[in-house]
Amino acid sequence: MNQIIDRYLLYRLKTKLDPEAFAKIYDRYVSVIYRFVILKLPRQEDAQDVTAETFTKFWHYVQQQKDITNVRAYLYQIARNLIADFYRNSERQTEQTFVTFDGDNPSNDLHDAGRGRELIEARGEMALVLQQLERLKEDYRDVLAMRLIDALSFADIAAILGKTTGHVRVIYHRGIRAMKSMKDANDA
Amino acid sequence: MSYYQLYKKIRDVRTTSSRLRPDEGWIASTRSTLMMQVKNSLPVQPVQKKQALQNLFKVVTPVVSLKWLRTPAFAMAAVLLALFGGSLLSVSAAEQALPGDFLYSVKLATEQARLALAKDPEEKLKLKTEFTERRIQEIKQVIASPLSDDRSSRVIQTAEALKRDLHTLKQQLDDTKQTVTPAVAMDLAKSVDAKANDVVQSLQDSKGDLTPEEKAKVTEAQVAASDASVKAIEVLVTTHQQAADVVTEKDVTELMKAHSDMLVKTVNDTITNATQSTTTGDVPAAAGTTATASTTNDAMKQVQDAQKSFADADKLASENKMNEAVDMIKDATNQAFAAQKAVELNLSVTSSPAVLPINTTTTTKPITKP
Repeated sequence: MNQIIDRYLLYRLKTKLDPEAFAKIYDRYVSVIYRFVILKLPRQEDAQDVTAETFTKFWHYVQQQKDITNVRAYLYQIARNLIADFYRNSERQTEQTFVTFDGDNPSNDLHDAGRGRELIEARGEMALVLQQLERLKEDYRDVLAMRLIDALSFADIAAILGKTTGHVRVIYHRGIRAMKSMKDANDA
Repeated sequence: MSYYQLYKKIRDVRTTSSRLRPDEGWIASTRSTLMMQVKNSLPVQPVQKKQALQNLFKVVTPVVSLKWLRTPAFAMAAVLLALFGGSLLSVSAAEQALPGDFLYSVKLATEQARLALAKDPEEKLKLKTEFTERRIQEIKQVIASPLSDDRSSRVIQTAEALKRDLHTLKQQLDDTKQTVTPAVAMDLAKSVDAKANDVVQSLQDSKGDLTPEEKAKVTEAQVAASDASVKAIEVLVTTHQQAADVVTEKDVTELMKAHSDMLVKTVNDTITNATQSTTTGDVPAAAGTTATASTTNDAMKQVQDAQKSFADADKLASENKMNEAVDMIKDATNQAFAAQKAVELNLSVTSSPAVLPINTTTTTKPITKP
């Protein structure tokens, strides 16, 4: 059902460049994308920026008549690329502190303020997890992260990575096996 | 970090992140900013028609995957269905076919196959009786069908097939009587006789508005049917002679009575029809009417003769001279049908205006033959 709604909205968007359809897509996906980026970025502002940027880019691509078939996967793909861009740029700007905790930040007055501690912990865990996954092959890492942490469907992951669903499933199971054998390598 | 620790951590991160919600105020403000950007960047001219069509096609294409259509298993199933299901379907369609239809030969072939697959002669005979029944249905349907160019040929074709079937039925009855027990032989003979009488009766009923040509064919089929009936009586007589305790005299006489009744009634029907049509019909030639009257009278006489012969046969049977009785019945049957044919032929001749009395004398010829 969700997919049918998506397809309909996409159709409206493509044929009529309908701003209302775009607004609907925004309403449907803003929280999901925000959640997808928040733990991967150091500050809440960065997450908000990246989320907003994701939708702006999406609109641009729609205007350019890019071949979009799966709205959800396309948005995730844009967000992923933006996160990568974010770290590439921040490496150059060395003066910028890498991690600034929300507790020190004026943006804490906003919504997530009450959860500041939880968020910090989650980010710490996330960093740990990602660090562990870092030791896996790139293919495995991407699929495992998207599947386990972001809880995306295999079909969406396949669309994001430009692979077939079956292939992604195979990579996922190989990744799980690699993750299990990783412990031995660590202990040894 | 072990796999399970890692897995647990991942779960934790996931639950935490699922509880995270972006700030409502931020969502609203970003939304309005985005919408402003979007509205500013709207193009001046609308999207091209072709593009719109392409997009529509993408939406219309089914969401569910149709990949399974291309799998070998599906292809195999489709091939098997076409091979076996197709023949089943066409055979069941052929069951409804009428003579002259494209699938009628398939129907006949199916019947032959069923006959060939039947185990013993008894079963074959039963099947054959069933098929004869079908022929009657067909002839009724063909006659009831609206008048067209090929109806006549179709009626003739069906009558021919019916005749053939009755003939084989007769032969099979003959073949069967050697192999089965007297009780079974009696049953079979009785059922065949009943069926044959049915055939004669229903053919008579459906004769109503046929052309003379068609009528002749149908009468031939009737003759074949009554032949089969006589054969049944014969078989019964033989079994009676072999095993009088199973097949009683009463059985035989009953069958004979039914046969003669049926025959006399049929021929009488024809004659009454004939007289009615000559008196009410608009036949102008006086010679024709007199000729008809004379033929009809002759025929009446013949029928009376036949009736007498039947009565004699009954008497002979009661005196236990079965063979003579059967011969008598045969003669009487021939006589009765000769009368019927004469009447029908005469009717057809008189209904065409340019007919001379000479023709009627030729038509009366077969009457004197038996």
